Amino acid sequence: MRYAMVIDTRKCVGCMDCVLACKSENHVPDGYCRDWIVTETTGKFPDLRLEIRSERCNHCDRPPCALNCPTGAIHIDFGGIVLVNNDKCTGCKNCMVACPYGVGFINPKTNCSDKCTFCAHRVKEGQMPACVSVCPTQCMTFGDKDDPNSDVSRLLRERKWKVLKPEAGTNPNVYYLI
Amino acid sequence: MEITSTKHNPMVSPHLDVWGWDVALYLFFSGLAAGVLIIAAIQYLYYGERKMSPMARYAVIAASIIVPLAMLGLLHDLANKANILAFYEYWNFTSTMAVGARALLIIPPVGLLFGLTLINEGLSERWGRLKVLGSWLKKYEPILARLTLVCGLFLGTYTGILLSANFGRPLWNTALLPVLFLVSGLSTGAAAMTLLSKDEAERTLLTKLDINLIVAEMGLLFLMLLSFALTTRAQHDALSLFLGGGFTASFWVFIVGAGLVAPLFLEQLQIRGKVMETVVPSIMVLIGGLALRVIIVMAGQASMIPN
Repeated sequence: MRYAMVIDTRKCVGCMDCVLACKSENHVPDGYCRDWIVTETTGKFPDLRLEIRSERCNHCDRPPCALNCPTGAIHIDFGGIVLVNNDKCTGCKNCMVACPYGVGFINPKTNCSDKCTFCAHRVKEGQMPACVSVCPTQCMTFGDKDDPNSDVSRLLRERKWKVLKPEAGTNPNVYYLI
Repeated sequence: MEITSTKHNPMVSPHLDVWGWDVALYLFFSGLAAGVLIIAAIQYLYYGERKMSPMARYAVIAASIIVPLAMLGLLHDLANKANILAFYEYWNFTSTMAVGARALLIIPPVGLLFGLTLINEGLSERWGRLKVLGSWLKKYEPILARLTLVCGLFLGTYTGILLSANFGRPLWNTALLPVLFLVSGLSTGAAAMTLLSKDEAERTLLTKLDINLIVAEMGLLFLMLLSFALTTRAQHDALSLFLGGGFTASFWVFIVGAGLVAPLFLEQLQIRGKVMETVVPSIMVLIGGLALRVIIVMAGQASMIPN
């Protein structure tokens, strides 16, 4: 079992519904976010290419945050989901410093490190993460990468994809179809 | 290429500098303390206790007290101070910080006990039991000296390992960083001891030591920049932070100019008797050491692996 998210950059319109859904589902405090939209323009006018991505924690196979967490508060949990255990978190911020994607923040309510959980509480009950479930263009797919018959496996077989900052050696589990 | 993110802008995410001045101050003072402990322990082991001045003896005690004081910087940085004991309840074996947190409980007592045996002779009777303890420990003094040396080497090195273990930060992710921090710590330690010393011959010796350390630090810094220049784009980008990027002026003015080149010249002239001996070069070395920690901590967080 290895959970992964596949996001189709050709379908994403950057409406930020995923950002709002996450905020309300996970009670993310004002001014903070667990997922966000990146718009990347490449080329020179008039030959431009626009890519829109919904970004979040990559739930890496080799997560620098969890490797450097002194107490093991941030750890790899069921299905490879990287989670923070608030009972162990001291707020030392090494995870935030370590992450090449800048996904973490200190939650002012809990004083603990906070980030995307792949909506682990929903996934446990067989539901999709909040962002995936609301996407109006259905550009996001979530599932088990180890199951060759899952939607994510099928998409990764059939389509061209990339991950963010592969040189970091983190082996991310959020894939972008290009 | 133009990238717009709804997260990484100062309106949404105002905390891009996660580790700030408090962590940098800890790195500086712990490095300085490590330098003093190493210099004093080596002096004891290679030249014998008799050659140690009262300053060198009391410096061991001062350094051992500076370590817990410097840890206040780390405490200030902790967002969830209520959970501080979690550092000792749980142990993540891949984390340098987990090892460091435990070592920081051992280093000050070891240094204090070594310092106590060093000053025991001059201690007046009113210190009572402390003097008794010091006399009893005297026979273990060579062991304590060796332990202090190990503690100092660990303290001077581990902070660099801690930063370099963050492999997503190209500027930190180099094996030269722990060595650079160690040599910089030794240099600031020697400078601090020079400032405190009342004996001219000792000051000359420490200044000569510091000249060698500054040269070594310059060499290490050059090698670090060179290794960045000769490698992949990620570290190339890290180098550009100091060559035209946001940290160019502070790096060359405070670390290289005021922290290395100027004190090296002044100390050389001082040794040759061309200028009067002043506290200026020592203070510049201390400022340079502090600047090195502040700039490496800040620039490291600005250094990113390109998409």
